[in-house]
Amino acid sequence: MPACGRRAGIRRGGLRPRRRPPAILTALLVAPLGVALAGAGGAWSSGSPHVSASGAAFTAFDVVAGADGVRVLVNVPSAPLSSNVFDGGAPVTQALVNGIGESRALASVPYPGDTAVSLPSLVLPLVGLPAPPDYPLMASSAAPNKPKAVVDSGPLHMAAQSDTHSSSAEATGGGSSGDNAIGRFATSASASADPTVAKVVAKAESTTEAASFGGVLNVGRVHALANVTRPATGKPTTTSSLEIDGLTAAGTTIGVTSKGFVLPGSTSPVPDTSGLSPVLDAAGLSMQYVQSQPVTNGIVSAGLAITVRSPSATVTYVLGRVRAIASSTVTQTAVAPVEVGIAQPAAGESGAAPAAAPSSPGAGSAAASPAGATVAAAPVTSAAPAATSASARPSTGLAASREPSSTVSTTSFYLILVIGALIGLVGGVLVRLFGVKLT
Amino acid sequence: MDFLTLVRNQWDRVAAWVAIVLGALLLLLGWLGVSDALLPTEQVPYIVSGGLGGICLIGIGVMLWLSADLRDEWSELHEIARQLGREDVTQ
Repeated sequence: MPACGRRAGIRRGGLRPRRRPPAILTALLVAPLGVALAGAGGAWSSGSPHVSASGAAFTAFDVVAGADGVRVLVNVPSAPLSSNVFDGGAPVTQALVNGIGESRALASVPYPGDTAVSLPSLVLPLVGLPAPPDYPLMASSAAPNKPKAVVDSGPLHMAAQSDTHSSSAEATGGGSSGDNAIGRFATSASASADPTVAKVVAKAESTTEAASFGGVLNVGRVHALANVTRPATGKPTTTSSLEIDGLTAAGTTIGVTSKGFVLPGSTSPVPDTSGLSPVLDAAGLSMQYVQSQPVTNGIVSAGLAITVRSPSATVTYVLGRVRAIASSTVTQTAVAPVEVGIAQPAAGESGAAPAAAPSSPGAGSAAASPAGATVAAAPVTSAAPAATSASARPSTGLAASREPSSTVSTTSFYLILVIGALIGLVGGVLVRLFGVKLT
Repeated sequence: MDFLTLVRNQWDRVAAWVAIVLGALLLLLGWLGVSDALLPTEQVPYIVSGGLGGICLIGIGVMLWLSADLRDEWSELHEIARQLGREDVTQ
């Protein structure tokens, strides 16, 4: 308690007795104190991280899946500003779940792109015009406020749903534009994170059937799949596939292998048909087999790119190329046996009871206890470096943590709060000493 | 001066120090909670309750401390005025 010295004497002398604190001031002081303490209590009671029965808990995770039925890129060399005048898909399905609380999904046919969807409602009010209605051919969901959305418009069906730990979207339909038509397309994307076993899964799938381009090129069916499953321990499973059936040019069947196209009269596959197929060249068409591409923590499946050239523009249709990306950071809490009674040190040890040490790589649980009962658990955390490629990622046993694609922590922000509080306190003392207190 | 009299006369300073100590305690507990929480979504309640609550309490404490000093200054001014014969200022 600070001594008030002379001022305290004045108070004691009763020259100007201190007033009792007014009730409103007391209330103002007590109310935030109570709220803060109650909030802190609530946070402590609910804020402990979820640890599964297997002892694995997420530190961070990021799961993304996306599938386009047909992605359309329009290039106009003479266009102002940019020659890439359009980049959109039909249908487009996307799903995302991550450790900072985001869980959302989107299905749209056609999807004109993020900018085209959001820009009108952003710009028009700025110039005094009313905001346009939301883009109608899109179903989007986001947990927890909008868990489900379904849009049906003629032959088009779009659905998206999200909950705390998973999101999924699907779209089906068909359509035509000029000489180009697609009999049926169906895409789906799902992203999920299971906190009970600390497993993340991303899956994207696309099917396109009875597609016709330029009246010359017909595609019976294209099916693309990308899947990433990342368990708490052990190696992740990354798979992708592309199946192309019934590919014909002017009635002539073109073979497709994982190395490219096998043109009529040839036995060796080529990745690109430009200049090699007179029928396709005459129609201004070319095809390219796009290989699957491993990306950090995921994969993009192979795809079929069909380019239609005209004097004014080049339009590229991409079938397949679905993508799945899943990353997570997992902290292992191994159950450690604790001996009850007399410890039985192992030979060669100094007498201390053996700590929990998984005996085999990938074992998240504790080693077998020697004699005695196991009565308690001791946390063991581990952090291991990540691998960028799923196939190249070694199994590190208990050290199965992975580097997240986005590491977000609020501890730095909290430090700023503490520093701010200290600055406020010191500032108040300085104001008191130099600005208020008589010397 | 016994404790109760001290508290009664110096209620603002007592309240100031109580608020400052509680604020520091909240900051400490909040930090411990943030350190133990793994996901950012789990850290946010500690930041709001511990961090922001602690800062608010410390701010209230500092304000009360300054207010107490200002009140002392006014008491001294009133005493000086009274001794100079201007009884009306103490009314």
